[in-house]
Amino acid sequence: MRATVRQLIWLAVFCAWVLVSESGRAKAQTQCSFDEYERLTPLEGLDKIEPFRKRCWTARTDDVGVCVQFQDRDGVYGCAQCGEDVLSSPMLFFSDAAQLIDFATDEQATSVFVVMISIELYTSAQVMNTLANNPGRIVALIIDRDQCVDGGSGSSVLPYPPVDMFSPVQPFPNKQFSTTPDSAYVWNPPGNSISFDYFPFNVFFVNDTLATFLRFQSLRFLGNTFTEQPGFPRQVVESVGQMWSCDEDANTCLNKSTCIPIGQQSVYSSVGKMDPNLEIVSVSAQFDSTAFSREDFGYGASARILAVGSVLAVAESFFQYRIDPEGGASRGLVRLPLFLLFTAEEWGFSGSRFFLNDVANFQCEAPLNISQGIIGCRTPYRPSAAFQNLNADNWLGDIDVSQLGSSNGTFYLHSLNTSVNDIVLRNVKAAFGSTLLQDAVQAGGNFPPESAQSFVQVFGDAFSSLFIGDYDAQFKAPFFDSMFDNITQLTDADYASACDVARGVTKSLIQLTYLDADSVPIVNCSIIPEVVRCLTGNFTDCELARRFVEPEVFALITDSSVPESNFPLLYQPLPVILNTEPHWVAKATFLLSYLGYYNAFNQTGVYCESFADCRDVSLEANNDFQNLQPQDALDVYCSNQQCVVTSAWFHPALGVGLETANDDYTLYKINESAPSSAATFSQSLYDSDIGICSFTQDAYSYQAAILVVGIMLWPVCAIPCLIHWWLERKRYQGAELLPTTAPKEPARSTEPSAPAPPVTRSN
Amino acid sequence: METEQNNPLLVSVGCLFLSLSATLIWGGYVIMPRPHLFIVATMAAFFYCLGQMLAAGWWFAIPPLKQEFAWVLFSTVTIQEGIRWAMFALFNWMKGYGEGVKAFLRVGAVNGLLTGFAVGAGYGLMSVLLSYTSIVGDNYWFDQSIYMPNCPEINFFVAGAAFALAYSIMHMALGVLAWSMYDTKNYVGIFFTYAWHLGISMASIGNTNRGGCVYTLGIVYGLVVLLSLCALAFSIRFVKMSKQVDA
Repeated sequence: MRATVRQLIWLAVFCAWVLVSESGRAKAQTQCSFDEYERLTPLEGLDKIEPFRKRCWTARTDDVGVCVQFQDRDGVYGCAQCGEDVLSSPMLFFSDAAQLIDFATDEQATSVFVVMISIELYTSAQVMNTLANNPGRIVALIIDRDQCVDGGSGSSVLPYPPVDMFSPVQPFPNKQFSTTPDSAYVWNPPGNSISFDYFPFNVFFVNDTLATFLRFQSLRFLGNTFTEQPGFPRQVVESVGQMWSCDEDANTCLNKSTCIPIGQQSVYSSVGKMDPNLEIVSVSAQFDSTAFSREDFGYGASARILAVGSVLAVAESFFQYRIDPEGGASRGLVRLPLFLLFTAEEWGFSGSRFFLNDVANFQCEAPLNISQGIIGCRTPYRPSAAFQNLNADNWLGDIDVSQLGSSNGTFYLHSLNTSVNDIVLRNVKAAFGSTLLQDAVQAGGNFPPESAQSFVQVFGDAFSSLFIGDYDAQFKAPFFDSMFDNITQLTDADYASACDVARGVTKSLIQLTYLDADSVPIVNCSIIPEVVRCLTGNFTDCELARRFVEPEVFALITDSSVPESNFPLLYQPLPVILNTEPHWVAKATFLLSYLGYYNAFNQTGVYCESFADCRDVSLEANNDFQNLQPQDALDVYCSNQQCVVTSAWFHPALGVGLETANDDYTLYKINESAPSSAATFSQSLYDSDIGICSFTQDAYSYQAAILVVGIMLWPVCAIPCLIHWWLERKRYQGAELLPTTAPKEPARSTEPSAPAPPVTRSN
Repeated sequence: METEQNNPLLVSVGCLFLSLSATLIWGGYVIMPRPHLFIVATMAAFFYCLGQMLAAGWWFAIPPLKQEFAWVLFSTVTIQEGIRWAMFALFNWMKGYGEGVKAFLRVGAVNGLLTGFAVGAGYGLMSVLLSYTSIVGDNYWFDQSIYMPNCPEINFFVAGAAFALAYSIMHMALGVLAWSMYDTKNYVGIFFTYAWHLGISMASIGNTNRGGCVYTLGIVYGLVVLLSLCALAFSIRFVKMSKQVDA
């Protein structure tokens, strides 16, 4: 009974314990930042461990941007981790410029850290220059590229500017390659040149969600107050990946293929055949841009791409006029309209210079086999030959269009040649009217750093090179060549203004090429925002591209993710690119197909789904490729579900200061005799796993101690066993020595027994 | 740059040794000289797996309660206890099949305690292998420096190994107690054993509190030590009483 009561009491105690432990459970407190991370990635069970194990985020694939090293004959720029594939250190976070500068310039301190800074600090030239000049304490730099929108809930989709203006390029972009390389003029007031600084460590851009997560991980052991290496456990951030062309100048890295020229393919297209006997009037724009992390954030939406949309709208509008029975259909072309879309312009006007140099000077030593239908030149390699029909002496002028996104409805016309006899100038002014287009007078005779410079450089000052943009004396774009120049910067008014420009350019072109001063061009303004979305957003969703690029080719060029950035990437001959990285020429392919369709002199109406359906059309248009000069060949392809006969081609865009170093045009070197105005830019290759990792680190002594404790616990657990064994042994030994109570057997004598007497026989 | 050595594998191996120490040493000491207990322990391990499978199915069947730790622990403990009782019932039923089986399973107070201990050792070993080594070790063997937000004081795997060790000792102690209670049909004692098991398991819910892992570990180990002393005292008393009965 007593035992039962005792048992019941124990039972009651432990039932109470169960109730207490359940009711005493408190809601785990969470920090809002980690809550945010959990909200975005709901986790259950063992998955909850996932955020706290070693995790890595790779640039390009995991929403991490990276700054890459580049170089030219004059120096090395950008960002580079050299010497080690992996560097790791605890992370410090700074949002105060003075604290960061003090940290970086503290010569007494020896501890090094991965440093994370806010987007506001990134936009401070003083901060960035200090970090570039005082890299001793910095293992890597992580920039939280977002500022909190939505009341602090986390990452916006696109970088959102924390300041009114910011530009990481020079105050006079491309000055060295312009007509005034020694000028002190400032075109780009916010320009701070940090893109051309050298940071001897990796620089990553991460979105706010990841930045918040990394900060949470680092702060949960200790506050952000330590200046020396923190104790253990601690959160460590790894910077992974180094630049291949570390410590190499441009020529060395080009020779070793640890860097590759910056460039890609420009697009040129004429309305009809390129007739060398016709005077040329060209419309040009550039479709590349850049940023500090140029492979990730070089959108250029308002500064560059808006103008591309405007030019494509011109092409479509001009086509509508051309087929109009009361317009171009009843007239004849008296001049050749030529559309030029250049790339790599941010890199010394490489696209336009390379193209125009070829127009002026190119001699094909060995053409490709035209009889096999292969068009172009083998030596020197060119993917097309039609440009050889462009006569530099017969070129009337060029209307270059760019930077349309910051107008207030008024645009400015820049021209070196202001003669009233300049036909192109006169027609453009007449077409636009003085309200929409005004003479740029405040620039004081300085010609803006745009593609129009290349026409002057190659064709001379007398060439009628016009530039139409939204600025007079200085750039108005507040975020020129920066990550903030994305589609969020553009408004409906900007698109409407760009459409006005398209209308003016179309009218100018009609006046110049059809001598029709009374035309009223109809412009499809909806093309412009669509082009901007295509070229700065998800290209795979671009309906225009799907419409004008044949399905097979579209699938090829979108086999990998097409970058949203408009950095031209790296130059290799077109066949090599199409074989290895076709998505690099996705946007150029779209532009070529679009221009080729609207500039076609024969939209045959033959239905097609691929080029295979247009093969006969191609043979017929090119006379079976017999007795045909390469430059006279016509391009035929399937666009908008019909075979079109057109003249739209690719042309290489890379620095004119580079020359080929091998026979297949995959290796390049610097042409030492090229002038300083010839661009020689190349970009370093880098480890494909470049990015950051984060993990918790225990002290090595702690890790060893756990191993020792684990091993030592086995003999400790054996102690009770040994004690039991010893007690049992003693008990059995004792049991053997204890006397028993059972009757004993008689004691046996130990003496040897006497022999028994002999037994005598008795009778 | 960072020069601190870092070898999380040391923690992995150390935690493995730590979690398996009591079960293998004590279980080995008791079971190895008695081959029939090896079979008993193996059967117990199998029954433990069976119980876990049933508990997993039960957990899966009621999605809204999946994250309710009290319910999960209650159902798991109940099933484990039920499976142990079922194992005892199976052994009892097998004894009716002749002297040979009886000789194998053995009767008597001491043999009953040893059988109960072997069952507990089987439970304990499988508990460590399933809950710690298999699931956790498989996924995180080379990444063992992990600290959860609710427990930044103790390495997650060190805490896990410590808890696994505690529960393996608990299973051995409970095996000794429970088997004797089943044998003597002491229903209060059986419920008492169940309540111990449930109480120690429920104590782990303290881990969900911020910083709770430290005191939870202390509480669990305190209870396990108490339970072990109870089991030891009970065993000694049980043997003495059965000897008196025999006399």
